[in-house]
Amino acid sequence: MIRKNRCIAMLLAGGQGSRLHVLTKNIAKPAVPFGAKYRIIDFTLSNCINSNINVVGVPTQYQPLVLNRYIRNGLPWDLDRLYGGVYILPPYQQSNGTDWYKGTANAIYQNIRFIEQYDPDYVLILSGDHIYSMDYSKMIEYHEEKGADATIAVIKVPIEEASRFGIMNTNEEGKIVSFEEKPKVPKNNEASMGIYVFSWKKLRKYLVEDEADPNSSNDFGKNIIPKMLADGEKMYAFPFSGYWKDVGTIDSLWEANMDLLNEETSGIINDPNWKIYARNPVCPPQYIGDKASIKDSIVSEGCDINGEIDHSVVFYKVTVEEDVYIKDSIIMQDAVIKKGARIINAIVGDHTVIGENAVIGGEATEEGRKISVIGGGAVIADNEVVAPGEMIDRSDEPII
Amino acid sequence: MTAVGIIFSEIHDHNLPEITKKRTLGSVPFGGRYRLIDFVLSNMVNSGITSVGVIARNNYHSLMSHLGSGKEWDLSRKFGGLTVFPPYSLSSGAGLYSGRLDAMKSILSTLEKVSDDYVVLADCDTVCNMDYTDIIKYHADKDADITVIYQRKQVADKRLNSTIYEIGEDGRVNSAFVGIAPDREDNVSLGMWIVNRNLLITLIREAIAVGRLSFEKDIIAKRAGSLKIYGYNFEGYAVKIDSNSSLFQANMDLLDSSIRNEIFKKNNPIYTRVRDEAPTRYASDVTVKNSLIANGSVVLGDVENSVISRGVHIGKGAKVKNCVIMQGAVIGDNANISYAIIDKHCVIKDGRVLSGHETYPFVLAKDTIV
Repeated sequence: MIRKNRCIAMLLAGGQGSRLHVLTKNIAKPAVPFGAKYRIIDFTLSNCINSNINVVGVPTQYQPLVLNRYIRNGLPWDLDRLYGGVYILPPYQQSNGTDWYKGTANAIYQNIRFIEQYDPDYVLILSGDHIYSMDYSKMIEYHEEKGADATIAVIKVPIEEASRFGIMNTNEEGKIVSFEEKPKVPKNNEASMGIYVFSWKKLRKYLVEDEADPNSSNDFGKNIIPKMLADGEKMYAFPFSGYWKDVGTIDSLWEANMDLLNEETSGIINDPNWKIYARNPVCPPQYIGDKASIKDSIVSEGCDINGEIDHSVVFYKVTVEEDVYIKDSIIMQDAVIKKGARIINAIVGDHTVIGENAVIGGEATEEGRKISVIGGGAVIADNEVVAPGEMIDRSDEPII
Repeated sequence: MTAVGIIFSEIHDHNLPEITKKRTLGSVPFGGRYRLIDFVLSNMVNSGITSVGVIARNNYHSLMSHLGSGKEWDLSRKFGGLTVFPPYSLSSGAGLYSGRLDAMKSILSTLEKVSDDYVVLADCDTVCNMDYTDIIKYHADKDADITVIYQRKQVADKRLNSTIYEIGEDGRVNSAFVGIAPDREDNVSLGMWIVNRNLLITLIREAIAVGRLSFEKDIIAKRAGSLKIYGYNFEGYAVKIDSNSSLFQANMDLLDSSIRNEIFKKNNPIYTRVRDEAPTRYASDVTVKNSLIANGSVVLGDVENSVISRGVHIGKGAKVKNCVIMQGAVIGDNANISYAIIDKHCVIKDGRVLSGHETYPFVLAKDTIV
């Protein structure tokens, strides 16, 4: 049955996230834990439901097990709906052949039939690897007001960093006149956030054409957007200001977690009118023991803390034994940090065991801060030393 | 050997006037993020009981909103699941009941419809982690009509009525006594019973016919000779919340790691309603010792020997010691409170000083502003 929807969202979650190395070895990037109780995808999913978008398709193909189990029926995001809700969309076998998703545009192309079930006027394209709060309904209104074919959300970035982004050059009305992917000499600093609103009929036409082009890499940034611009379609930039962070690298993931400890940027998880929803573990409140010391940190439920924690992000069900010192670090769920361990400038994956008196990472030096990473499930022996910037991978099996 | 569960959300003359003024005993907040009913409900679910009826009496709005569809206890089911029974008014008279037996009259048809062998009856004022499967097996092995669950201990609070069982060497209950407990160790009822379903239906029908009201006084006490009533001694941690001081003490017990680990067993977790709170935030110059703290709290002051619920704000320079602070309460900057139970959404303004005593905690009713 087709029920008319004004706008549905397609949340691209298929990428491997290889720049997160061991952290995405067994799970898709959107499922990477973030901020003491969330996973990266919670922010986009919560933005959808808070913006009153009730149909969200999630094309996925890389290591989807954890992501599937996490999203399941969408209940934590209020996306278990009679009509619509959240759908995991893996590539599937078709009568004319079988393909993986070849690129971001192809992932949408292969799901045209999914989208058409809802007969939408607009389709919102999102990526599952950004941390931000955004009211998409305002962007959709803007798109409608402008009578646009495509609207791209943009954010001002420091001009010296602009050459890392896709830069939009616009006229006074916000109409995009040209687009440059990672320009060496950027003309301005308005970077694409990878958030697009398309009028569906128009996008459908371009997806079909793009698929027919054997030279295309089937990517929104590389193919669809430049093609639409070249054809003179009405494309507008929607300016966004507020916190927005790409967490595609170890350093940016660490920084975004640390941003939650900073009063200016922590609002993203503390806004009562824009809650970030997550699948909640079943565990009692956190216990802070007699010998514990916690400063300037966020800690989640089910923890048993008996050591010192300074300026860190501690996930749920973490055990920190006595005489442990943790500073400027991220400790993911179910980790056990044994007596006397020291962890500085590190990301410690879920279900890890850090042995007694082990030393993970170290203080920043003149050369800068180097983040040590312990992959999920790894066991670090007593007295073992993991150097600053070192990455430990000791798991063969995905952690369930 | 399947069972259905029946929970009495409010049955006792209790001594928690401030805390239960606007809610049933079952929805009294406990342990930082729970309500009392979560314990019995989770115990039933963890024991494989997937049909649970909750009998409500009055002030049950908070209970209904807490339970919702029962999905957080995995009780939102096509078959069975959670059913809340508000008072049921027949044309013959008022719908408010005055005893467990009286209360079950309204659910007689429900008990007749199911096919399970046993019914687990339980009050919701006991905090424990109990596996009913063992007790149901004991009940079946003894070929009992009724099994009462008790604990061998001395009643702490002498002002309140308790049910005491006299139990023979074979485990049979010879008699039951309801009243002020004598000053010695006794078999004290935990307010939980296993009953054969068909027998329970008969007992309820008889009760309707002759106007019996109380399950304990009219059935257990009077018919111990004619029915096969056995006792099961529960040896784990169990505490009945029947006064402000027991509510306070049971919260404090959770700071003991052995009790905490027994109540919050890994494989038999206690479920509760999810509130989507952010992680707890600790400021840079605070001292927090020996405390249980729930998510959504912001700790800008010092906390010691306390249980802090979800969404509590502890102001800068505040000192909170030996307290139970319930959800959403705000403790102002430089406030100093000790031995207090602060109910939901209370506001203690900056600099206020409040103190109770270990044996008589100061209790601040819901929404109070000091």
